[in-house]
Amino acid sequence: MKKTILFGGSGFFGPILLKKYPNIISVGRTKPPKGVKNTHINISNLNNLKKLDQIKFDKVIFLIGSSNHHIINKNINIGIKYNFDPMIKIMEYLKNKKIKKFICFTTILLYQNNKSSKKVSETNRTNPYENNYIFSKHLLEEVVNFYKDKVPSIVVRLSNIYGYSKLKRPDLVPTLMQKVFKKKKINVWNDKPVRDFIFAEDAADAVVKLLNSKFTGVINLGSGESNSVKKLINTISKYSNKKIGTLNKKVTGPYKFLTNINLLKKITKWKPKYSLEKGLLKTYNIMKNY
Amino acid sequence: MKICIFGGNGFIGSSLAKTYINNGHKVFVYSQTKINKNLNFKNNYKVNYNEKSFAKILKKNFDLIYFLSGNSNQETSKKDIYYDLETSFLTFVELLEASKKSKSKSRIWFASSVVVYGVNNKPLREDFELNPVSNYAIIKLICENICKFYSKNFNLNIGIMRIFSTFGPGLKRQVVFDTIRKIRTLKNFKVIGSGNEKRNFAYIDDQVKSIMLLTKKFTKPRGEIFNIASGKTFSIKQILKKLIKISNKNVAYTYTKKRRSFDTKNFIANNSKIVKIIGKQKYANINNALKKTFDSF
Repeated sequence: MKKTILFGGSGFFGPILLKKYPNIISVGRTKPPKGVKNTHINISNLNNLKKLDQIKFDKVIFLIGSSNHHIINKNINIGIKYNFDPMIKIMEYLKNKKIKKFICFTTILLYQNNKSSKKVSETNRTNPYENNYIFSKHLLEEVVNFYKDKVPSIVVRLSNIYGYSKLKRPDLVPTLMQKVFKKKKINVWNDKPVRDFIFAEDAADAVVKLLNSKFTGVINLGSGESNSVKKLINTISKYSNKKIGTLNKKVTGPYKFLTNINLLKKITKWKPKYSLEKGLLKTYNIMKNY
Repeated sequence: MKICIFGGNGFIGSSLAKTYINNGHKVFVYSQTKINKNLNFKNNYKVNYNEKSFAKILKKNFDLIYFLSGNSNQETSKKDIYYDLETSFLTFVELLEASKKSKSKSRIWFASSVVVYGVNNKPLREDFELNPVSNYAIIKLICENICKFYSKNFNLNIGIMRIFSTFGPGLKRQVVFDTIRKIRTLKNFKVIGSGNEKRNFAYIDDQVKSIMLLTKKFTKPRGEIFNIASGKTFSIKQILKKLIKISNKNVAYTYTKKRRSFDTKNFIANNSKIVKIIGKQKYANINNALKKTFDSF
């Protein structure tokens, strides 16, 4: 049987996915962290993809890219370098490989012009020009769409994914977790926004189910649930016995931003196993031991 | 007006420059590859395109900037998408970054192409869904995206011209040139495709006039797209027959039937959007235009 390969096994989501699915081969220049036992093939950079010819693979999970919107929003060239260029390189390599499925990731923020508080679905109009970060993800989608006849692909528009990680990331949950183990006083910017938080282990199951489905195209991935930042910080407070306050500062994005995941459920029959409380508890317990 | 033309040594760029100069405008032409000395432009410079060099050029405070630079050969693009990325896309981003940082007020017009539409046999309207099929086309589409992004977010005046098949003296590729070259040099030749492919063919002088009128009248472009086309459609077969008639030669030809990977069946233009801005134009008679082109060889 042909294998599945995964790019980006040393990032945030990669290690969690690899650990759940030990048969997936990790490829890239950095090994996945300790505790992830999957086979790893060193590829020094994306100009060196011919090295992959030695592996018989027919499915690809591509997690290369930057989700650091703070940096990209300051400099579009970073977005081009980390989100657009790698996609051209991998597609140029895969276009003659006759693979079965390619999965890559963008963001539900692409729908960010959505004025109503209804859940966003794949048929909603996107607003690719909102900022550098969203735009770089939009360009990536354009590239994937261009190669679709040669590389059957799924673009996953991901909601707010969270989980355990040793990496220093600008996202809310890992930042808070890292702070509760160190600092006394912790504050979030604002606790009112409502978002779709999805636990990374649930997301990993959904991705693998999608990989084995016949679907190609754009699809949302989230928990389908809405939770406020307030609920999230209260839950972390409960587990850590640390008080988390709010600065009540102005939020730039919308207050309520939710994901419709009906298409995903229909195609994969997947549903999340972790509630926000359960997911945060697991995250807390694992990160406590780092 | 003070006008800057990046890519002003190319086919459309040089005609545009000449016409502006003849109308008394001050024109600066820049190229990232080579300068055609035969053009005898007073201000014709070869520069390395990067943010720094663009920033320096922008200090001249142009009224109008045309970006016609970059690879225009689909065969080259097919072989190497990275070449187009470098010469067409990344350089253009550098220009827009420089414009953003200098808060440039110049109106920038980007030369895109009909090829962004991809496979679609209807008369093509600017708001149609795009399905590019070639490397050349996807890079043009990405550039269009970047035009919209910069104009919407950074207060820049940027317009997009989707230029349809343009022919005339001086063009060294595409179907009209290829056919004339074959008729002039061969007794027996092959024509790519079935001959039934339809294109909106426009004569260079008409296209230049349309572009100049558009950029004069549409003064606040914010990512708007315009088809630059005459609205006159001909099949390859019709063009071929007209050229053979003009040549007065006895030639034999066959069709390859198969098209190249980057060719699509039809590119038929709907030019009503530009006509609304510039008014109805009297376009060159196709027979006369083809004869002028044939005679220029």
